Amino acid sequence: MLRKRLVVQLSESYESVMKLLLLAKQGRLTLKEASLKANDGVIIADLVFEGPPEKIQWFMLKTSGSPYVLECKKIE
Amino acid sequence: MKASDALVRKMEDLGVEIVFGIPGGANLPLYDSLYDSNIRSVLTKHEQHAVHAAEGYARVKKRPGIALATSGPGATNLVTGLVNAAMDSAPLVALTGQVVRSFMGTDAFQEADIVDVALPHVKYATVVLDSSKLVKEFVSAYKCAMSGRPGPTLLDLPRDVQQEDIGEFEGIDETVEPRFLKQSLPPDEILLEKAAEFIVEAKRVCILVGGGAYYSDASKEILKLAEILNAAVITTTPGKTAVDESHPNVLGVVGMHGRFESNLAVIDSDLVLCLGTRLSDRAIGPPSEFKKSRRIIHIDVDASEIGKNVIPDVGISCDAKLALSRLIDILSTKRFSPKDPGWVLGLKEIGRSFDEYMFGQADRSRLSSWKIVKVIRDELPRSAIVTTGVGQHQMWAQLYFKVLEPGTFITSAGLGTMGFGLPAAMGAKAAAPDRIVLNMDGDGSFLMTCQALGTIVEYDFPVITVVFDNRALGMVRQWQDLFYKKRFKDVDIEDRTNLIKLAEAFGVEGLFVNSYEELRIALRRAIRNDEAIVIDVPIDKDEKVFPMVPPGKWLADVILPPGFSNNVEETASSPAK
Ligand SMILES: Cc1ncc(C[n+]2csc(CCOP(=O)(O)OP(=O)(O)O)c2C)c(N)n1
Repeated sequence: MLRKRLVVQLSESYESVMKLLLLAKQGRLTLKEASLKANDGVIIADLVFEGPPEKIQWFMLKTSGSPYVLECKKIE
Repeated sequence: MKASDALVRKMEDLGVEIVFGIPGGANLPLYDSLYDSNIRSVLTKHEQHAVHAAEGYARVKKRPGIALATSGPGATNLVTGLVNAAMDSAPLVALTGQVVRSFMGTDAFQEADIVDVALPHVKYATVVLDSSKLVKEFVSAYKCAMSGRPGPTLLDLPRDVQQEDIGEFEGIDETVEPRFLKQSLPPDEILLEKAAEFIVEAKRVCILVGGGAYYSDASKEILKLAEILNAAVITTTPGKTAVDESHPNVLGVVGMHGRFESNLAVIDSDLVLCLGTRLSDRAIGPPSEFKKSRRIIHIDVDASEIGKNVIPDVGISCDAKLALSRLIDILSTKRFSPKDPGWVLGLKEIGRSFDEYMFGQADRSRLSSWKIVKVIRDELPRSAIVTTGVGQHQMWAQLYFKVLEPGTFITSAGLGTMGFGLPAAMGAKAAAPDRIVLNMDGDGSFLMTCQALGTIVEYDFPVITVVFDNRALGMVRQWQDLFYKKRFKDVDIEDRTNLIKLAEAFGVEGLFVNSYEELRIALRRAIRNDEAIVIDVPIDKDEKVFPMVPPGKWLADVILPPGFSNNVEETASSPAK
């Protein structure tokens, strides 16, 4: 199990936040912490997930390919 | 200008020529705008037909099909088709009406939160709340459906948004943001070099072709590479449509109901090059077994597919055609001893003896499904498009119907949606009016969406339907037979629905045939006249689809037809020796 903090920049809509969490659910990641901030047409989601490394990797690739996501960064 | 007028204008600009759907209170402004447009709108009998037809259209045209529905039940009726399109990566855009903005969130009449219902499955969905953004949103949703890995998108349009005046059409900013156009990058050269090294070292190479290869138009490159490497080309169910199956290197579909020789090819290979496939358990069995004795190279335009089900030795996130042409270039600079051509020849020979065995089986009281598929293939022109329902007949089709031109086999692979065949055939015929379209259906599947016959007549989409009529939910019955001790429960269809009269009630000729010859004659006439017909072919409900790999088992654990050699290990190693 790996614990990772990801910072994701989303377009400002409910759908983008929901899609993000739906993808985490699909990847069977455990959400440990979450904070959301809307600013200037962008939502910054700061998330801590726990899960197998390959699932976290999958989640990052999947979110990066989503039209709701502007950027996905692994912080620690 | 009214927002929905501007939307329809933009649809015309983008080349939308047809939409499938049903109007209702919440999408009336859009339908009103279509009234003055050249876009052909097809009124289906059910929204599920509309979305499957849009998918059938999209799969032929390789560009998004459009499905329209009103709010509430109209929108929710689209859901199966949206998920179906997502599972098979088919591009389409659904436009749903929604209650007016001031009523949203009040449980208003026919209010359903379709965006949230669809969101887990579609690439993109949103409620358009600002009429000035409607056109831009449509362009984004349309382009998004096609870009990278194709898939469905949905825009939910409150009625008052459609209706609103947005001023001059020309003034709308229609540029698509890059996030909607996540394009495939060129392949990573270092990874390609590594892949080429592994390929050079390998003795027996399989090329596993998925549906992505079809959208990428990679058929030519696949066959070229196969010839260079004397490789066996095998396909997933969606990948079946990507290559000409009469090519000497192509063995056919692999997996749970794959061809015997295709499964043997994987078992016996030391490298599998996977193209545009998510490597579903249906195709490869347990990933641990698949990986065990062979190297895996995985190329997919969707980076998140690489390593999702199988961790490859080399994973390259790229469009299949692009990656393959580079790989062929790199291989042409390498010196390596040719791979044994006898391997594929031996596998082909096994396939032939399997076919001979099956065709040699005496018919029991009814016609044999294998032979029906063969008659259909013999009679259809090369360019004819075949769709299927879901069940045994679908598996017989995938085993025995040889695709001769890419894009001619359309089936619901990932979701396995009964009822897909007829409406998808209707959409395919709309996309290719000059080609013959034939739907191979099961009686159970056919009865789920048979009302589409009415639309087929009304709009002149002459589709041939052949019903493999076993008066049973055959595939489920087969599972109960093999894995539930023949405790048949709710799988025998006791009603005597007369499919001939049913077809006739919709204005389509219905014909019962009781021999291969009668089937041939009926097909010839329907093909010659390009006319809609429902051909009811009785088959035995005890007939089973073999080969079958039991769920969760490795490809070597295949169940073969009784009487045919079951010594897979022995047979697998013999062709290479
Ligand atoms: C919408 C839907 N409901 C249920 C199933 C489960 N299912 C899979 S195959 C099958 C039987 C299909 O019967 P039929 O269309 O007559 O085809 P056959 O297997 O007899 O060839 C069923 C019920 C499904 N795939 N789709």
